[in-house]
Amino acid sequence: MIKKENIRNFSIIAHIDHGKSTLADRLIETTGLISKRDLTEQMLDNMDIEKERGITIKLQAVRLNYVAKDGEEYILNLIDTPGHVDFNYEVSRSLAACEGAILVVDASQGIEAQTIANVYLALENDLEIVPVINKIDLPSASPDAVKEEIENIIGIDAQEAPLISAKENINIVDVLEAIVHQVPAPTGDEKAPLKALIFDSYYDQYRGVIASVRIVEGSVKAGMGIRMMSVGEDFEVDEVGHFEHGLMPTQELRAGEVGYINAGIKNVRDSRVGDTITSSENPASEPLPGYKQVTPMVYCGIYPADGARYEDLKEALAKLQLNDAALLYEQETSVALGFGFRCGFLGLLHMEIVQERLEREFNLDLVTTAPSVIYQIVKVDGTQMEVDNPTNLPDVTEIKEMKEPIVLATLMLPSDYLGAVMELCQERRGEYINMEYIEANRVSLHYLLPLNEIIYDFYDALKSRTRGYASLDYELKEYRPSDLVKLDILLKGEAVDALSFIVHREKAATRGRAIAKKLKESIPRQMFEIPIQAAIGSKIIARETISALRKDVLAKCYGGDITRKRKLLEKQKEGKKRMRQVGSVEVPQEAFMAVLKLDS
Amino acid sequence: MSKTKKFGFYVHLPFCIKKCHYCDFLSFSQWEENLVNLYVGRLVTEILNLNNSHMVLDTIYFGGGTPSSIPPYFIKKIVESIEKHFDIAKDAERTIELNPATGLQSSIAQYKEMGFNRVSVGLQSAENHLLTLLGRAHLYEDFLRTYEMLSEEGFQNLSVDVMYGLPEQSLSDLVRTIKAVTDLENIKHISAYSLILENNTVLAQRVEKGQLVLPTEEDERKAHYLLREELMNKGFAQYEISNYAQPGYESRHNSGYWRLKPYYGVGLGAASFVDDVRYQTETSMHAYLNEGVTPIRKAERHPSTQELMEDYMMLGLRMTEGIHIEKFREKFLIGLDEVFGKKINGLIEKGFLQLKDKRLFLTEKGQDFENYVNLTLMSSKGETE
Repeated sequence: MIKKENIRNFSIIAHIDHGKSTLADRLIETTGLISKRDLTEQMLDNMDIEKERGITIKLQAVRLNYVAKDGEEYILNLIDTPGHVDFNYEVSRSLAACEGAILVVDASQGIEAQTIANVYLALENDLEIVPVINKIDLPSASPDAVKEEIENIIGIDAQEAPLISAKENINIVDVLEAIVHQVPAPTGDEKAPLKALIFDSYYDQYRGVIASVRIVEGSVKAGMGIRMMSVGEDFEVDEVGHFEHGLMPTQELRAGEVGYINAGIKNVRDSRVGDTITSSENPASEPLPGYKQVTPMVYCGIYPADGARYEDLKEALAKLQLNDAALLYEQETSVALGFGFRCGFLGLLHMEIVQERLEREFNLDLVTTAPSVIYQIVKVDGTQMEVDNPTNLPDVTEIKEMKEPIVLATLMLPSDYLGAVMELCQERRGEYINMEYIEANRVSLHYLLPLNEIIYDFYDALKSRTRGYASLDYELKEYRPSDLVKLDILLKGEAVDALSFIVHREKAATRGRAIAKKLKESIPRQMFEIPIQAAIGSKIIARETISALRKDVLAKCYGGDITRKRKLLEKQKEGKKRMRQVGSVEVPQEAFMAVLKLDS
Repeated sequence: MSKTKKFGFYVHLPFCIKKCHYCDFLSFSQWEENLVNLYVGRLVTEILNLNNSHMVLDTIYFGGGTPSSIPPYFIKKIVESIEKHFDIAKDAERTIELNPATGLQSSIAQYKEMGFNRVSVGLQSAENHLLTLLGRAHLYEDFLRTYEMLSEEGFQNLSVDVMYGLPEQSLSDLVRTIKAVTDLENIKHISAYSLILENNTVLAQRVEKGQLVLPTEEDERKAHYLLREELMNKGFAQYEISNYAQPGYESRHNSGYWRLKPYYGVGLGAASFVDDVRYQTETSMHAYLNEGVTPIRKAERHPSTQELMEDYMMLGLRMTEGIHIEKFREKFLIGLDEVFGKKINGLIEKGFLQLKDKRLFLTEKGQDFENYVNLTLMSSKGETE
């Protein structure tokens, strides 16, 4: 029987690369949950893509037993959080399940934008922040400067912050002691009606949905009837337990504890992050605060490169969605690309991850169209509509007003790059809000930016202009009326629906020219001339021409070396298979993404 | 006992006096006689180990590199081992490639003695400024001298190589070259190649740096059409995409490749085609010279019947004569239309192929897009008509 006073529920907040996963590994290893030998590097991130990108997408939890220096045994529940702006809401829910958060800061890099955003989320949830300074073994480490930075920016005392190296296993016990002494024990009435916060849920193909929960009030055990308060569905609990080395069943979960509930739920949509689980028989009167249904901000079309694989793509999306409540998709048809899906994502990273998983885990070859945000349209007849696909935009004559989403962006960067970044934000129609020096040579910059300027190549441009030193975070601020137009791209006089996009009128000409040029580079010459035009309505604003191929002949035959010729032809044949036929023009897959790679 | 088969025989000699600026073939321009000695020794061993039963050599071709760049006694050694090991047809076509910079009168006389009856001379152009640009080791005057010597020694069946689509080559340059070679009566055959810029060649680097400018595709095609017409007027018919000859002087050796006839290739990296299997000899000089390395020749590809039929089409269509429908049926025991019918019809409709007198051949437009025709005829993996 665990004493509530000896439970500590905490998360780790860190910027990508600052060592969160390594620290988590060390905590697990030091408390002896898993021997060093069994510890696969960075065990909390267990999807391949996460490991490769060094980021956490799906959060998880783990329960550690620790005998502290005061001789008491403590239960430490580490709740992992995703480390990216796209998953802000999931982060906020996992923080809501904790009483404290370890803030890991790189001893040489200092605090980054994303870290601050998460610290604020933690503070909003009344979490105790425990600063930890990592990578002190690096020659460039300057822990004192970083301490000062933490105090200046976040306003918490960092003088006693453990100085550690997760990689070199230095001072890890200090972190454990800090958790025990600084993070408050959970409170909550075990006798009250059940209130359990879902902070994660994933689909297991054998057991159905496993919901990760923090019991805030009351208790839950197998056989009990439960209700998802927002979704309104009832289920019967099959099993409850803790996260140890895998799932460890237990009799009961009580207020203050972190664990899982398995209740024969078939879809993560019925077990949404942020929802409150209560008892069917003795329901709580109010759900826990803070639930919202996550809505996609970015949309794009996803098509199988080989039209015959439409059904495979459909099946793959269905499987991914079982585990990803934020992924939306519905069937759409494109004249150019055939049958495919319009998919909604939390952000660009989420989009890239889904594409990558479809290609890797399901072995699909995809054609994706340029991403779009949701535009609000007020029509002349007074009705309103939302458009996430430029193709569905009504005729100009029917549109009274168009509104686009504006985000509040926070950029943190070395002051050397201030000029370059401000210039980039101006180019992207940014509206300067303010700026503050966090340190002598580090700046936090705030801009209002149209989301549709960020989703193309903003990250890439930011990275290349600051040599990777700037970080970005953003949140949706509002919808604003804007002078937007639909830009069509015509190949051989025919508009290609999959290449249309919506852009601000002032930028239409530049962007149209850039895209026409890019397409000229990416579409190979064919046996006829191919005019590429960019048009707003019937007005052509840019034109390029791909001249006709005059010959396609292999003059020399390499003596008797037919094999060489054959190999050459086979390679060409493979290349052709990766083309889409648009009217009479063969268009390579990359061309559909041309709009994304214009780095200006 | 199986029937005696006609074979082609190719000998590869990867030695030059100087590497040309457009060449990406494996060849050695800084060699010592000792290396050639080792190489020829190995070559002879290779020849003597070939299966020689039930065959007669119909054509022999010494290519490279530049066979004429090595002393003639090496050539003689190779010829003798071929004659010792194989039956050779009485009227066999025996060709040797010769560079105008290396054609000594004494060597030429010896080639004649060894039984060569055809010489292919690498002229490329009659314009000295283009020869310099190409990095050729000779001038036009060297060629004329070589021609005189060849004629004196009684060679009456000569072929020359000519290039077009070169940087800084005007149409009149090309016309002059054509006139220069067609005026010489012993020249019966002309191979005309459009320049292909190969990676990592001097020429490619100079084009990349902007020092040289390639002609546009339009200009290159203009040159091609002009060349074809000029040669036709002089009595040279195009019998293959890049080859022209006076009647009866078509290269038998090369025609063998295009008709899927069997052939042996010996020497570094040489290709063979025997019993419908494609082989390649070792491509590393070091390994080739090392006696311990076996096998010296590896099966590169066992083509399926479908692949063989495709090869037959793509090679046969290089010949202006094209594919004889009856010969196809004879060879593969299936009708051309049964295998490629739909694709052929599509290509005929688009004007790339023509069917006439039971022959299927490339139209003039089809010749310009030969590669496209091949790609269309070729099946993707797993695809059937």
